[in-house]
Amino acid sequence: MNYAKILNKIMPVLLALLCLVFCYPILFLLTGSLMGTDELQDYLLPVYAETAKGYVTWRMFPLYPTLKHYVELLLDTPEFFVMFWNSVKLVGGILTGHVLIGVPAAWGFAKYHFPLKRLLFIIYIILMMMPFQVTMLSSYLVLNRFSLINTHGGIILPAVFSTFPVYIMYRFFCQVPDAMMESAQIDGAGPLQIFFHIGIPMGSGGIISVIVLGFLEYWNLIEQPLTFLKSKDLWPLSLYLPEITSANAGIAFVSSVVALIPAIFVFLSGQDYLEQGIVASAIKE
Amino acid sequence: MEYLTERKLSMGTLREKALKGLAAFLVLMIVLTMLSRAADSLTVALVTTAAAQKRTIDHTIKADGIFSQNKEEAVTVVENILIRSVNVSKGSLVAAGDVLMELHPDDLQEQIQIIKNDIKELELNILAKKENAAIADIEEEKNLTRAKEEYDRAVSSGNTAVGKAYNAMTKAWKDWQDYKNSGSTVSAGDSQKEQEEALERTYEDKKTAYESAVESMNETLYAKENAIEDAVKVKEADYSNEIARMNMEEMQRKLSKLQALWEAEGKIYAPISGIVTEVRVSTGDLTPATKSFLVADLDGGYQFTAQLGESQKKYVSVGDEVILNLSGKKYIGGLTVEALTPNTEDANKTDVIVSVDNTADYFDELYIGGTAELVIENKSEAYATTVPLTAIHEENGSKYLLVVTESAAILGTQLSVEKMEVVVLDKNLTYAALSEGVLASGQKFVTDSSKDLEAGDRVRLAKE
Repeated sequence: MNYAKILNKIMPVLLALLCLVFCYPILFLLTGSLMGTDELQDYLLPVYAETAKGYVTWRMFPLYPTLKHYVELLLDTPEFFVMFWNSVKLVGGILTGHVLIGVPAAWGFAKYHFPLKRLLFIIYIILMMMPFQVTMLSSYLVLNRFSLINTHGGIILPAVFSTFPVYIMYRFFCQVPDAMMESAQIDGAGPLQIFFHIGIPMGSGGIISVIVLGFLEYWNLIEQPLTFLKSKDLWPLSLYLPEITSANAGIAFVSSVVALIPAIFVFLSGQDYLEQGIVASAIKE
Repeated sequence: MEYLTERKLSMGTLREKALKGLAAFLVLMIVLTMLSRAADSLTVALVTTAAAQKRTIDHTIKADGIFSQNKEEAVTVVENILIRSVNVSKGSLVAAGDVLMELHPDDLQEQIQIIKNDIKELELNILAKKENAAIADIEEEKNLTRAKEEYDRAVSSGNTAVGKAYNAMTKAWKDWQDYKNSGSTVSAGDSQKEQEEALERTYEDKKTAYESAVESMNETLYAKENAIEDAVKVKEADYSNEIARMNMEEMQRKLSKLQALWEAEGKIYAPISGIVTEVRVSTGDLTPATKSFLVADLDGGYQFTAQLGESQKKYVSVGDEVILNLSGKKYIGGLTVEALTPNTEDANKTDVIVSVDNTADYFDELYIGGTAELVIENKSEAYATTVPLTAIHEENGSKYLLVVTESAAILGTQLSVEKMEVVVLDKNLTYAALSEGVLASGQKFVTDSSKDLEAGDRVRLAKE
């Protein structure tokens, strides 16, 4: 009993410390975004200067706080917005694809019986397990064949047919009782009516969790655009930071902060569904 | 159960807020996108571009100039005559025979009289000189004759004196010799010896007297010869008469001019029809030694003179076709450059001279001091690479173009400018010819920009 009491007292402290550790990068970003160029260059000198010795030092509160980098990025850097809207377009396209393609596919896997269904699902899972580097070359060849290299379609289409969202939503659709579907059939509902009026409402948690997970994944997409997009005007925001040099490190911090904002909003809006999705993906087949 | 319901409710509220926040964020990003685009469009220069073309570099040389007389005649008058009136002024249009000025008749008459007197004086001087010379000759002759006579007389008297002395000496010699040869000398006594010695002394005295007579005669003759020589005087060179005669001739010429003026009642007439371009006399003054008037001969045409700068001069040569633009859209064609001469006031300028004869168009409307614009068209060979002059920039003495380069950037295909050094072979006010091989075929360069550009600056195309 005493042990439990002690644990209850220590735990919040430990959790607070852990929270601080995890939040430190965010604080680092926020303070960096408010620092002046000279101050940043002083702190980051060991990173950029080859001859400099020592390590990066940091101050939690800027000596001379300024919003100059925010103004510079948000008003004087149209390139940033090109990449931002490229990211929005890619993520929006992919998530729309997931809803249009992935949801019926998951419903099909969950509620219909057809030959080689199990084998096909295993293939789905195997494909889900493969990292991008494995399928990169074959994807490139296929996309090249379809003249999709250096187009946003070359990023969106493969992602639309990703297996992971199907797998997540499959778990949610499996939870829809068969009896409810049979009742609906008896009442005269067709397959589409059952799908739209029973399947989607009951699997909405899965759909939203897929959207949240998908957003967080595809908002930070780096390898695919770097591989399949040659024109810089097609690049997403995740590739903006590599364009930053030592001369404008402040902009790097600000752009990171701005890129973080939609992710936070999406996370907050789908936090509970995200948990359900993660749980669903952890269920053993 | 209640906890779960509460959690669901709070999550729902949070979700709504988060979705609203996301929507607001996206709206903000849309606004900022437009603002940053607008700011970018304001900072990026709007440029006009062009590509090099093959063409000739035509030089149109233009310069303002004035008309002046082609030929003019000076009017001169005998100097120092009082002017009664001057009938013309600078710029007066006169016909041949018009009275330019009138001389004072009294002064003219007085001048004539003075000249006549001077001539008379010179004549008398010459005559006096002649007569004096004749008198001097007679005097000289007389003196010479007298000297010769005196010489002859001295010869005669000298000969007589010398002959007498000679005879006395000869006689004394003979007496002395005779006495010695008489033989009495051997046995002679002292008296005889004294006698002989006396004879010898006599002889010696006579001899001395003879020699004195000869010497005296020689001296006398020498003096007389000198007197003859002195009588013939060496004459000094004397051209005064010739000089006086020349002066007299000059005066006679002047007299004839004055008499001509007198006969013309002192009026000075214009020798030709034209414009009086210079008047150097005024009423009440004396006439000058040099010109009194300059009259431009309009029938001889006009001379048009314009100044060209260093940059224009090299495109103009003698014989080039010229057009003179007059006022009111009138022009004179068919003219040529007659001469190119250095400007007397500015060493960096050159005077281009064009003759306009009386057959030229609008000749009647021309006048001395009138202005016109000279136009000379100089066509060059065809250059393969010519660019508008506005495209050429200069920095530290080197000329360059700002060529437009395309590059793939985040904002899409981005245009920027790069410096390309060029060599200008020739240029006019509009185009410049460049050395070949620098500009690639079809390569675009900036001809006009809304802002000053540096190498690497981004640009937007206004129009091709």
